[in-house]
Amino acid sequence: MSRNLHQLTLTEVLSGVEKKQFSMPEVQQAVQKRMEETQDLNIYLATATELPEENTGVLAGVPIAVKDNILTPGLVTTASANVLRGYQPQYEATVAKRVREAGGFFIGKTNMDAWAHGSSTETSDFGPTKNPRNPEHIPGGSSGGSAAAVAADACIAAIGTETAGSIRQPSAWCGTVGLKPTYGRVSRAGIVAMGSSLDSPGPMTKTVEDAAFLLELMAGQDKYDGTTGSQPVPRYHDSLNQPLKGMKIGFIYQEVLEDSLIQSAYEQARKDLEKLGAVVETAVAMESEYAIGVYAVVQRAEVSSNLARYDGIRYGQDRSHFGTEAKRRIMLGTYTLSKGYADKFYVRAQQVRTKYIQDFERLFSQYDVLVAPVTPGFALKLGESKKYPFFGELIDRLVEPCSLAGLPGLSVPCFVDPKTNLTLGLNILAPAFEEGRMIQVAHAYEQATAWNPWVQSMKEEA
Amino acid sequence: MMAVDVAGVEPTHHTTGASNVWRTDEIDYDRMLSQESALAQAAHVHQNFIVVDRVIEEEA
Repeated sequence: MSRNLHQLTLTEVLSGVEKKQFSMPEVQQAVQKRMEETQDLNIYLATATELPEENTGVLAGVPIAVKDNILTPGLVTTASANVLRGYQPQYEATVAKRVREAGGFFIGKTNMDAWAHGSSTETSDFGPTKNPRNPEHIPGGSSGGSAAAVAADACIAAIGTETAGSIRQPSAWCGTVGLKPTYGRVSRAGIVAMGSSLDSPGPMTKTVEDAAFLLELMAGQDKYDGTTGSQPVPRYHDSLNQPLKGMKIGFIYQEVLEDSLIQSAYEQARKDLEKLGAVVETAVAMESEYAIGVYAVVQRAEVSSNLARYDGIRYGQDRSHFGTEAKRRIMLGTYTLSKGYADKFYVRAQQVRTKYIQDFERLFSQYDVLVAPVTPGFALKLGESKKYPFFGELIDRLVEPCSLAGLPGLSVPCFVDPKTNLTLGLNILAPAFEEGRMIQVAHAYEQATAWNPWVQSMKEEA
Repeated sequence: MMAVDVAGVEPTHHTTGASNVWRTDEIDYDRMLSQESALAQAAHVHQNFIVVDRVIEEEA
């Protein structure tokens, strides 16, 4: 094998260990070495100091990076916020417990926008993370550290969380795979809450196959999160290698792309999906621009309620440590919920949200999956996002409608700009609890195109 | 958002349609924190109580 161990995918690591080509401690050490080499990117906030004992779970001790808003006892958890600086979790998030008990080794906690309030990882109270593909640019966010860890091979796979774009957008900008499950597919228990009607933890990986594998371990009903669905967890692996022939795909939101280079990238993706046998049509969805307002209102209302618990009495620092963005969101959220304004803003936002849900029901009565750009353009340069007060809302406007509707989405690499090395992602959407469909499309697309470097390496060695 | 016609549209309460999710009314011992653990992250603790700054002013 010509590659180093840290460069392997999750599936490759597990198969190599099983075949005794190398050992898991060798993989763990290789990843730790890589983490040291990539320290300049500011990916990790806390790291495991000791290697674990031998593990017999299916993941067998594979190094996993965990976003810093997921409670992991033994690893300081801060959500990149000063209020939680030094916080030692006293219990474990359900999603962390599931992955750890399956044999995942949490190698470190990844940087993010403070409280997940942002789409750049620049609002972290512990400094920005840089994009491994081009360190002059941001990785996106809020799960920017997790996406960068995957892109830099500073982990084998990662876990992130998304409220509206926070898994898919950094995955698109770092050239990796990010899967945001249906709201309620993966438990939120033990995750620092942001928008409780939206938050969805999900896998961030090198390949679609790895995402399918991890999702299967993460998903399922949890008695500590009443919003998790009782639907059985399918074998997502079975969706890989299913042909796309005859599948009906609706292409949406193409009109908002920033320039002709990006237009042609998505046009090419459409042709590639047609070549795979899918029936691709242009579908007209409800305009995404209304979702900016709906998302801003709903999410801030929920933020203002969720952040009330950080009083600095039972744990954490006091409220004077809140950053500007958190304060802004608390004020705006409280305002939209106050007497006299709740009907005008909050209730209206929830009505428009219903309109989006109805619109997706209409679209999914005509199409098996929907495909859209993840972002209107490429990752910005460091510092640029701060010029826009609603940067996240604007840059994530193409993922807000489906997030508000609770739908699952998967970002798969679909373009690399040869000049900047920056990437774009294809957003594949499915109806609620139909993650298998988007895994099917994304895997077929990833295998048939040349945009995923890990898939390319695997092909070259096969 | 203000431009959308929402006449007769129900506001969303839950995206995937769940309603009234109950749990059995019993103590879950797996989920309980010990006193030591519950107090471990508090800034000021005195005799197993959390000490907070005074918020009520004395009468002048």
